[in-house]
Amino acid sequence: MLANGTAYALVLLGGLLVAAQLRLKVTAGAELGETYSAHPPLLFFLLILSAAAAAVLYPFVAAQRPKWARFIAGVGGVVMLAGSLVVLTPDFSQLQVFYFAISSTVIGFITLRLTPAKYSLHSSGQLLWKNRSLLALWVRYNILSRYSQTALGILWIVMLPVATSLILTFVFSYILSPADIGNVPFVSFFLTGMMFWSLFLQGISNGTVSIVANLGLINQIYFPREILVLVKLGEGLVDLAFIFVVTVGINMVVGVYPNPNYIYLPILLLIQLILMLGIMLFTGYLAVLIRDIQQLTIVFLQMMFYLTPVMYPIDILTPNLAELVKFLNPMAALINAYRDVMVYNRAPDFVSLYLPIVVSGVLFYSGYMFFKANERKLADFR
Amino acid sequence: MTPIITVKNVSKRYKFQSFRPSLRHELGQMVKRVVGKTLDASWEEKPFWSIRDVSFSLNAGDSLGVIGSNGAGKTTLLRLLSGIIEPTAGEIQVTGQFAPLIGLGAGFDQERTGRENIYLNAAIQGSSVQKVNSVLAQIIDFTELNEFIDRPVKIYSSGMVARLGFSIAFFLAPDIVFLDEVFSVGDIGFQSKSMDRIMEFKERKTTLVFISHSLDTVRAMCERTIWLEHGQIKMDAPTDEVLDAYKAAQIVTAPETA
Repeated sequence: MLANGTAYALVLLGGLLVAAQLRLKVTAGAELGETYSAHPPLLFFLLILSAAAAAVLYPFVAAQRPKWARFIAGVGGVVMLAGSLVVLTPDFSQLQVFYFAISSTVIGFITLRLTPAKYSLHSSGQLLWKNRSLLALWVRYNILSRYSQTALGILWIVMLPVATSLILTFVFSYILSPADIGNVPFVSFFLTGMMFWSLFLQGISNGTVSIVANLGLINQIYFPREILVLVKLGEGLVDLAFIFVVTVGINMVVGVYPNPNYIYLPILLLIQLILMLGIMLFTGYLAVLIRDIQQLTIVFLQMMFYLTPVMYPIDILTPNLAELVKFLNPMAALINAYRDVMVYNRAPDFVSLYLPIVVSGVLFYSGYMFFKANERKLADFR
Repeated sequence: MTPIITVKNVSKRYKFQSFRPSLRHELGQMVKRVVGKTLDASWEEKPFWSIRDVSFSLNAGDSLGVIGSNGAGKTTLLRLLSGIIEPTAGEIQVTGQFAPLIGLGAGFDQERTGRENIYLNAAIQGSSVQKVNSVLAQIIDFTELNEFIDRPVKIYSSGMVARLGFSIAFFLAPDIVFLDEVFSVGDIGFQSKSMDRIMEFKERKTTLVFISHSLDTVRAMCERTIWLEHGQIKMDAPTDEVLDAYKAAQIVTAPETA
């Protein structure tokens, strides 16, 4: 019941955000009125109301048509909301209501269809909580084992991204002028981007092989399989913590100091982690079925690296291209936001974060549902 | 008394493809189609029932032996019981914590010490750090690894790895123990020690499911035995009866297979 309500709320919120975003970009010739607002408070109120109504209606619908009940209830909620919008808020353009209904329906279809009928969010959460010491031990031992044979040991966590950033600084200080990046030190600019990009890169590439590499263990004993993916995320986070401290230190040396806007960092990091988990759950599982996914992910990540403003400021692109990159690549908006906070000392641009929030939410929800519904088949694919 | 393990009409089907379809093969087929050559016979899925319509239930403290020839579905049954794979049809209910003694040494981190691996392996089996701490001394004592316990597992011999794996599962006080042909490892001294430990389990009302080709061990440990053949239960009765019938069948069929 609660899980269903949560699912509806997520679906509707996703629809709202996408609709607002599309509305901002595409007006299809229609005039935006003076009273236009992308997300008025009334909309949020109606949203909650509709999600609650959908959750209440669900059991009655479920008794009639169990297989499609979720979808019907979800669409019912969307239709109700769209209808009440038209009646209650004449300020809203019909186009906006239309965008909203369409995007909600599509997202609703993707997410709700993937929810397995017998699935219980509560019990799988409980099982995960019960196995938290496994997660912690695995993260700790993997990090210790990774560097146990090297002379510099754990220092390598910090050395790799710092070295890359220094190389980037060296190369790009000849190509870019300080004005291009807003007269901030090159090294801070690159380090900030590199730090969060390498979290993404390492997480996705390690997460993709995490299940395949442990098929032997999967064949011997049951444990919640998503732990294997979460371990890789945990390792990435530990690495990030080390790099973060060093980055802040280097920043202070070159005159970029920690600022109150750092309070936005946990929110940004959370969006990134949810996005990563969504991708990792899909690629990790699918890599077992189609081993080519491992190689495809590497190609994809390389392509994404150039589409993400890690080693260039997004402003050097033409405005149209910059819009497209921000639209297609959730990491682009995130990297910009991290830089806003850590380098430029300002609040991130939240409107540009709408799409990453929606994409990561939908990817995570559908990825998790897909993974949990099929995890017991993993031992059969050898 | 409610049963601790219930298996109801459980079947497990595997699909075997005569060969795995690959992109290269598909492209070859396309070329052949264009050129007008005869195509390869299309691959077909051959269903294979590893377990078919198996039902039984066990109460706390029961010990069940499972016997049968190679490929009869014994290990598949154990994997179904421990939740590694899900049945194609039917229902399985297992309540309580179980120790799967299927593949000892699975999940060991080769770079870490024996002691660290005790924590890791216990955690994979669902035990908390506190629980391990309370039995750590007993586990280390039982392994007889002495100073090796603080050396990396990668330098262990296979016997030492097996000892470590065994000892971890033995001291986590599980409700159910699954044993799959695990007595072939370790020296005689360790084998008899393990046997004693399993007998202790029985006294503590731990449920045992034991797969073996060693009929004497089954006779010593289990009151009840299931004889699996081609994934189906051929006989489910007190151990002595089943073993006698099984032996008789082996003697009759032996000349045919020779």
